[in-house]
Amino acid sequence: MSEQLINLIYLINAQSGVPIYRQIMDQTTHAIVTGVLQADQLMPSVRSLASHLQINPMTISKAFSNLENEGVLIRKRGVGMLVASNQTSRTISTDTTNALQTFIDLAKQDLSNDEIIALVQQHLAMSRKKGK
Amino acid sequence: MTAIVEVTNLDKRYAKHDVLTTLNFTINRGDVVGLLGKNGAGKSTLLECLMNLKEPNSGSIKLWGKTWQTLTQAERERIGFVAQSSAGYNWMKVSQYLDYMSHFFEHWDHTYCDQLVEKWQLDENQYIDQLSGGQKQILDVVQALSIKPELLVLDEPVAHLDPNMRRQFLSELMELCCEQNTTVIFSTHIVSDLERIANKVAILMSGKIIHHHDLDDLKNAIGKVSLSGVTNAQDLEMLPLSNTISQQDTVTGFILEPSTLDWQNVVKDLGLSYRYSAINLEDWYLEVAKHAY
Repeated sequence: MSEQLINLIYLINAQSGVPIYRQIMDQTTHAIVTGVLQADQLMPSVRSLASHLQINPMTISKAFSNLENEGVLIRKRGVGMLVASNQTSRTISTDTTNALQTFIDLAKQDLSNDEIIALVQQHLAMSRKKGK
Repeated sequence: MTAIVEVTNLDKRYAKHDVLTTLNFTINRGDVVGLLGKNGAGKSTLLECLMNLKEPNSGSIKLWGKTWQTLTQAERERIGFVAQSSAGYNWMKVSQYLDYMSHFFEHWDHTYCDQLVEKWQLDENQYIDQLSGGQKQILDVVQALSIKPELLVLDEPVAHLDPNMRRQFLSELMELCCEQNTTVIFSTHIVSDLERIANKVAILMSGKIIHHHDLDDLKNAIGKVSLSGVTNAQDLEMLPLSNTISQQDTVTGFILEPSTLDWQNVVKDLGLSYRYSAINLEDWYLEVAKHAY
């Protein structure tokens, strides 16, 4: 994967409250959903990503392993991590977009943008924990 | 997990001033540990004790399960160290200094050293005396990395570097960690760097390590919580909240360490509503520091 593509996909904010491994997970998933990463595409190696993003290699490994457990990535022996074949870009339904807009309009009455993002991430994390 | 560094009941005093008191600390292979603490907390003293540059008053330090005195020369040569201030040798040229240092290390990687000098644009013909503070620090880093260390001890390694050089150094350090599974302990005041490269974080205060956590576990846990509808303050005692402030029926506090308690459910069971916002590591450190003094 080219450095340009890595720069396009990953923008790590070390000062956000979100752990870096989760930022990598979320940004990888986002790149797949939006078609920037294609099914069966080879992911960058842990080493190249760690060096390029100046991130601890264990953090990258943890993000990739979690994505593997979620079926987003698959590990191919001797090759590396690939985007799973069943992962393709998806069109977001009008219902989801509308629900999202309603939620944002409501949340903005009380919360800042950062707080809204933190709230969504917190609920996503809780959903993950409950295996929803 | 293999312990690379084991510090047990370490005491270090300067005259009558206790700097490190009954300090216990373990670092496992491959860990990158960021050490935080205010100026004068004893970070440099701890790192210098690890390097056998300062003798503890009591307690023990073991590297790879051995005291410094029982480490073989080959084992000592696997340790890289960058001190807060340069070792001197101001009369030497950069090339002379690196050549001189290379003779102390059997496994000095000359090719890698040359690559780093070129990559970081150090002028080999320049006298050390003429280097800027940042260039001197880079020279120390080149010397420490050229032995491809298995254990790297860094005392504020990026304090004098510009942001570009800092990123290049961090990038190189991560390469080394991937290649050698190098264990690193570094002190810093730049919390955002720590968040990027460390997998463990420790805070040194009042001569002790008061926090030592897996960074991801910590970041998943910490946050600011506001609870509304509080009628009985005793209800909150079971919650892992620190630095709380009460205002009418609202209590705001911080979660400052990982806990096994499912506090959200406890709050719901108490019939309270809550608002949670994640905090970053710098905010966490400042709250911990506030709590500790």
